[in-house]
Amino acid sequence: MENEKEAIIEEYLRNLKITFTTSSFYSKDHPSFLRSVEDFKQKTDEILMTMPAIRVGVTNTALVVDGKEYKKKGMDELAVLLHSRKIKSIEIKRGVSIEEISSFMSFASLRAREILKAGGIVHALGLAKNASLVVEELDYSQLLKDAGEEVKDIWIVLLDHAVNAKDQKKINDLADAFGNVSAKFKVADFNENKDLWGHIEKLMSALKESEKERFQKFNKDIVKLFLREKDICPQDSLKDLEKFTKDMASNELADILMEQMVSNENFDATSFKLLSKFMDKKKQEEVVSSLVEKLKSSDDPEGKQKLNKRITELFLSEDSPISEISRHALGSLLKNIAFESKFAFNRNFLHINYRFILLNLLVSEKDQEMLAQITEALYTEWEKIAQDRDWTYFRNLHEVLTDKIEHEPALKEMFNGLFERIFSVFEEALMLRETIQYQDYFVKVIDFSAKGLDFYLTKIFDEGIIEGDILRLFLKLFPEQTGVFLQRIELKHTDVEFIEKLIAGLKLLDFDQVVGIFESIFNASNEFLKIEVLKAMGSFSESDPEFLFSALTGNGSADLKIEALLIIMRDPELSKRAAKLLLDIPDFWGLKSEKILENIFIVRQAHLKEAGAYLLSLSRNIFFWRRRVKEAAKQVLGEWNV
Amino acid sequence: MFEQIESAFRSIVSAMQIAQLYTTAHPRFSKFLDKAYDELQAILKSQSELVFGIVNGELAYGKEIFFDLSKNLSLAIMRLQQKGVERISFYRGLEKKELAKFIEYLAAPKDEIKKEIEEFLIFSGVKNISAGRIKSDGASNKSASEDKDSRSNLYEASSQNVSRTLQDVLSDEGVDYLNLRFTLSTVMENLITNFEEFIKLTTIKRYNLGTFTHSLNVSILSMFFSSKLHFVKDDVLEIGIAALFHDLGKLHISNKIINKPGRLTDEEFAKMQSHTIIGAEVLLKHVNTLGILPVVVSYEHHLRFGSSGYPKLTFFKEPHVASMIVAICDVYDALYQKRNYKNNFSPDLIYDIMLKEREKVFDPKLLDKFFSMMGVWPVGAIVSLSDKRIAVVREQNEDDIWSPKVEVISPAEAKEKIDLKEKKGQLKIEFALNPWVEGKEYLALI
Repeated sequence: MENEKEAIIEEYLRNLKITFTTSSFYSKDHPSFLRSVEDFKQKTDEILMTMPAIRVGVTNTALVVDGKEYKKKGMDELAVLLHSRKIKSIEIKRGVSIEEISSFMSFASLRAREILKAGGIVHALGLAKNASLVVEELDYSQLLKDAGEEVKDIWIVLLDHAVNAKDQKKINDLADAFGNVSAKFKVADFNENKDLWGHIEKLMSALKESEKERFQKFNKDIVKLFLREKDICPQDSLKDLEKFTKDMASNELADILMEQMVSNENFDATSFKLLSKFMDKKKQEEVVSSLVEKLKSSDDPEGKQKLNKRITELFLSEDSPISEISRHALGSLLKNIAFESKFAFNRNFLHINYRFILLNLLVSEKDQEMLAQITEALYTEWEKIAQDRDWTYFRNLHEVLTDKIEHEPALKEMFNGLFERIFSVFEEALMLRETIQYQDYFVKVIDFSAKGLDFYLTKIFDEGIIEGDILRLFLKLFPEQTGVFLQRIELKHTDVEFIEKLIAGLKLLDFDQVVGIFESIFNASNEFLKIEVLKAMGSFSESDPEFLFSALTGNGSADLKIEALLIIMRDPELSKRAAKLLLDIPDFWGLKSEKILENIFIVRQAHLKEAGAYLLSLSRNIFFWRRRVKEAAKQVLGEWNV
Repeated sequence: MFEQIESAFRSIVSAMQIAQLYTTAHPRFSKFLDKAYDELQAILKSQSELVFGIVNGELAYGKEIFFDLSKNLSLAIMRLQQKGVERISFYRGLEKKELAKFIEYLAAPKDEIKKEIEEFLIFSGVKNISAGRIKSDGASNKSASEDKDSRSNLYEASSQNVSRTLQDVLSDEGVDYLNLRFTLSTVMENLITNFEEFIKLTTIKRYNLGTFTHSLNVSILSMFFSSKLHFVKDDVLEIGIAALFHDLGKLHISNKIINKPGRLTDEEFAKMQSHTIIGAEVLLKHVNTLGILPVVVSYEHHLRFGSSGYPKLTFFKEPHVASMIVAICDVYDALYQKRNYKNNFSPDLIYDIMLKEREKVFDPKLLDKFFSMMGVWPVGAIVSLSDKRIAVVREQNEDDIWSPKVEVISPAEAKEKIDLKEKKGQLKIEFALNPWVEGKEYLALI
């Protein structure tokens, strides 16, 4: 008996599916639709002869009648379709009209998104209270637990409603559900639907003030979505994405990075570069620190090793997008993390602790004999200390030693060896072009060379290592050796590339230190390099007028003289002098016309307005043999509107 | 001749120690072997046989007893006895490879030895050395009580050795690092297989062996703890050595200030508080022999978890794991030493005290690991069970520190071995008896 009933119901539900399917193909007026609805009405009347009403419940996997689930023969598909339209149950009572069925079918077979846009099926149908066809609607949050494709559309529509209605609870639920739903989203959805961006911004705005945790989680979910599609992320999207990342704290960005590195094998250098676009230098440093702290506190040695490897691949590669300082700091920090079990006997740490103990002992100890012993211990340990390149340690050590000498000058001799070692490491690192934290500090404090003059000369002139700080150090540490330096420059005066590099390096130093060197290079070089020297000298606020005037009036090309004049022109008095020197040339017979013409060209190129009076005078010359000079002067005056 | 023979024996022992530390394949061993061989050869040129005997722990040659040598090499002699070597005969014609084989046997760890020495020498083709027991009764296994006595003797001998070493350091003498390492290596070897017995020695029998017992106990505890953390043997030994010196600063100050007549100045008093620094500074002089770990442990063992202890650091660094191990063992042994006939610092009280300092003083995970190893009721503790029977703790259950394996000792008719973990809910330890007071009568039974 029971089986018979179930068979009848199953048949009825099959008809429901057929009618539903037909309705989705045809419009309400189409004959096929009408016939289908009539058939269904008949079937409904037949089944309602045995019961006053039939109530069909809907889950996301089955139709339910009288507590029994019906899944086969397409029932499950119908269930999914009805469920996605927010339909929880359909109750059809005896006496249902064909119009009621027709309206229901016509509307229910629309796309879920359209139904939701219309406010849901109940609202759209406007069913009367005594209707014979009653639809119960699903709580929308249930919908979002589905994994179906339509869930994305549903989410968007629901968001639209929630935002417009300013319904905080619904907004919260939608934010929570986004983590599951985001897998269905693509970046293109955001580009195609500008409303969507707008709604999301409103959602975030609603969360930001009062739902901080939700806000942060939502932020992260959006960023992860973009990282998933790193390769096809267009520029515009990046700008939009920045809206999310700018509010993210460094530890949140570090969380995303950590999660992605551990669980997402597709997270690679491109993904990382995408994320790095939104981190300024300061944020990068903060994210690096946060990442290292998370790594340190992990108890899983294997996981730590894996993460360390990923961090090294992404952060420490040559084309890593993070700044060199951050890279270097990260490298140092990673060295100090134990990657074996927390309780392993780490020899590296032992040596690090030992050197810090020696440093602390230095601070607290006053007895000279003991200080000598501590110093000796540092010497013995020095090879390891130097190898580790812990610049913070070197700086601390230097400061402690300096402070102790200040209070007790007699200690200077005792500590000289330590200073020598510190400076030696620094000089070596500088020449190897290593990244040195506190480089400015060491350049400032170093007051003797541990490596010696020959070391510098070899590095600079034989190996071509001419970075600014190296030259600065040379001039600071070997002030008496400028002559040797100039001799070596002369020997290399034909090496244009070297001299260019040297000029670029010297440009970064103080004028007083380098003016003599520049002038020496100038005198020994070809035209091209002379001009480079003048350009470099132009970058200083100070100048050497006599040198410049000698360049101006020497045998160099017009271009060279223009460069000299441009520097001279910074000073009004010198400008006047230059104008006189160039154009006030007695030349009755025109024998110096070529010279004067060149000088007119020079003042014209340099816009030396102080030359105006002289040009005027030249333009009034009556003698024909001075016609070319006259014309040239007039032309310049015309250009200057004088 | 007497001096020659003494020197030869000393060289054999040195070679044995080197072999134990580095193996016979190591170049250092060759050097020591050559010396021992040359000295033996020199003696065997003038006599066809050289026989040593070990009687009552002392080395003898003929009727002569090497009193000083016996005292200085007591551990080595004990080792020989443990290996069943009470007499050694070297014969003219001795070859170097025979001597190497003999020393290899002496240096091998106990659990690797499958044969008695006589058998070993025969099977190894060694013709010019014979060795074995003086009283040969065919029994190759010592009785349990003999084993117990030998461990007790080992503990005493180790303590004396430690005393000597610490005194040497305090008086700026050179440290015999080899001997020290050998001592701890022997202790460790016995400890790994018989930890329960050693812990019994440290928990119940407080030998009145002077100030240095605490240093030895902390060393033993630290080595055992480190081995439980799966540190390699070399690291365990290093920690053991470092633990020996952890309170050197206190001893150093004590010597000077105790001898000073009159009141301590403020500065001297402050110095007493800075024993960690002083210890580290004294040990700096011995870095070449002892390494850097003793310096680090001496300095750091009061730093506390999170470096909130002392000395106050200008430049912060978290203490090394070795320092944290020693810190735990130091406090544990110090609390245990407080137990006497007046004060009952019971084991559960010690556990509670230390637990309160979890995260403040001690690394929490390390402390947990320590107690999973030691248990709340350590091996050897005399306890009263919930059914009023008296038992002694024999072995820990690492996953249930409150429920060890015990052996009932009273009443006599109720004797049995119980694993309290299996009796959870039915039977438990109520309290520990103070071995100086109510527990005294049961000491003989354990």
